[in-house]
Amino acid sequence: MSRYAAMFESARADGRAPVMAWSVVGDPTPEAWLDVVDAVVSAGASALELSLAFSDPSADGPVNQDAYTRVLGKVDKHRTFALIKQVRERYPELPIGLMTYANLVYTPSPKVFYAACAAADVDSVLVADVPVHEAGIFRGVAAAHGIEVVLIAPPNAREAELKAIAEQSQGFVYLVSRAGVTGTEREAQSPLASVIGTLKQYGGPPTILGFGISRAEHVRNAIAAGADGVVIGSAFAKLVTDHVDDPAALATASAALITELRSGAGL
Amino acid sequence: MSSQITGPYFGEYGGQFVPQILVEPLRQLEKCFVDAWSDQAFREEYSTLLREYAGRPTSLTRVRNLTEGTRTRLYLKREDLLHGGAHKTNQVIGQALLTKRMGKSSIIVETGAGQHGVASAIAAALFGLKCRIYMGRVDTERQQPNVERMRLLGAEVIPVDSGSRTLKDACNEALRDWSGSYMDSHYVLGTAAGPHPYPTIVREFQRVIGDEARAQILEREGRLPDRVVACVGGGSNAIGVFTAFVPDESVELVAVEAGGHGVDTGKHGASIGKGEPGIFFGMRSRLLSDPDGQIFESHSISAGLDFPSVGPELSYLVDSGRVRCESATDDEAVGAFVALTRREGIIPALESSHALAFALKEIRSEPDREQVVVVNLSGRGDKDLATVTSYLQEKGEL
Repeated sequence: MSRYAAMFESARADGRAPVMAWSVVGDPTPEAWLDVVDAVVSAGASALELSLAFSDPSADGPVNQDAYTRVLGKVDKHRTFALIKQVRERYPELPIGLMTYANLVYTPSPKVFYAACAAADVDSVLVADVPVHEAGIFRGVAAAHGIEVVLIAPPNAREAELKAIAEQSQGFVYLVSRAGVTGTEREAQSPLASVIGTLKQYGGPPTILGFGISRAEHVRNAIAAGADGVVIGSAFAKLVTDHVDDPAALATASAALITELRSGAGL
Repeated sequence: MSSQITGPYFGEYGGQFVPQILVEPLRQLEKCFVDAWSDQAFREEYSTLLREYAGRPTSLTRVRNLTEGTRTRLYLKREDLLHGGAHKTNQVIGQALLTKRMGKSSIIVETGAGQHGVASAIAAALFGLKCRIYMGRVDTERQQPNVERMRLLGAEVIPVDSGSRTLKDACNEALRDWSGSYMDSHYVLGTAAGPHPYPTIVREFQRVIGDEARAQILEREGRLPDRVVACVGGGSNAIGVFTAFVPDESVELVAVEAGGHGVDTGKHGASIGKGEPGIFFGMRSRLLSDPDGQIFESHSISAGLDFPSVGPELSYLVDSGRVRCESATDDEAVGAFVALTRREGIIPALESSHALAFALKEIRSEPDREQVVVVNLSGRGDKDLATVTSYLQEKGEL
């Protein structure tokens, strides 16, 4: 069984939907980041969604871009994968996904990228600027390295697109709660029950709702709308911004955020 | 699964590398363009606006003094005479008409030198559209007159403080805005680059440059030119002047990139000559990035060429051997700027000065060759007066 499948199964058994935590690897420093990872996993984060620092994150809002900027030039790709490997060794059962941009996968070659993912025992890769009809460029090489391909389902997708996403997304579907980029400036909008329904109708994997989730109430609404879990992104990046010089406070605040959001995740 | 109506790829380049949320607005745009382009009434309205409002056709001017001592007849395609001061107006009018046709009330714009921003602000004023223009903070400072022009025309200019605070960051910001506003806003992308269908739409709206130039040179010379030369940033003026000549195999097409301090210094904008295939700004094309895939900050004295990638069709035309790719340095471009100003009485944009610099260098290296050369003078240089003046002062030449 894949780590994601195991995560959803144990979530059902516990009566609590998965709450996944996102961050940019090495933010704000490699040492502080490893402490944050330990803190959020201890607080009950179900999985990690990790981004590699990128110079031009056009699908991310300003809070996340600040996180990329903090890390860029300090933690290169080699170091990033080394850090992920360290986390994998600490948490052999924890699902770890990457969220990244196409040029980081493409350069120097997709083969090199997915081989690095496999070596770090990453479960999945989501490429933010590759929509489903272009996803063929990385599909074969991802499969050859045993890496699952996660796709995004936005609120404006047509049925034919949702069908393709349901059929091709592996592990889970990343559901976008609203138009726009990442960030908590705009709260998660109400339920995409019909998007979720269409994905299920075509046999899609479980759905994880992201973008703008920062409070327990958002998690409750997501689950009420039929999402199988949530991912918290920029709310964490904002904590880093607030506690950039105080790693201990950052770890504590991050764990507290997971605890709060999990309180809204009851099934 | 593919839903494209027109081809999204040029060889291995092009495509639609955007977040899934932008696929639907791109599809809407493509459908609107394809319908409009086969609608006689739309084309009539477009060409009437180009003629009566923008000032087409633009002149083809034979240079009188610069080619002294050579047997070259050098012609300039005078896009600097177009309303707005550059070729940008050609395609912005087209996209403004598409905006109205889609029933949208606002446009989003990115700009580097401010030429595309000014053209868009003009079109927004004409068509009663709200206009939000993203411009890197660095560019707002080095192109202040254009910022004032845009604001006078009623546009909102939003300085971008992320990343390198130049054109590429303005592009990212425009995409972010559009991700959340596509319902009532059209993104007026400024060059023949970005995700499909922009490279095709912008080429079709810019090909009027080459269509006119080809007819004009045939009338003047009774034959095709030996060479057509254009500068390349994103590539819209180059693809615009080249397209009509692509089937004419005897005509050599030369794209001149920003050599900056020199293409081996790392401070340049030579994304075709020095770049590798990569994925950025919605497309697969040639791109300047580091071994990890981080996008480089390009350098050029001309903000309009200061972009780390290039339109996919030009990448393809260079790879396939149809277009020759060259470069001109900051120094060479300023030299051509001064030469054209002093000897012909025409103040060119620094962007266009790159094309002229390279063309003159080749012409002077073969003085005895009898040949006809066309340079696309894509814009005028009023916006560059401060840049050129301080550059010449630093060099002690003024």
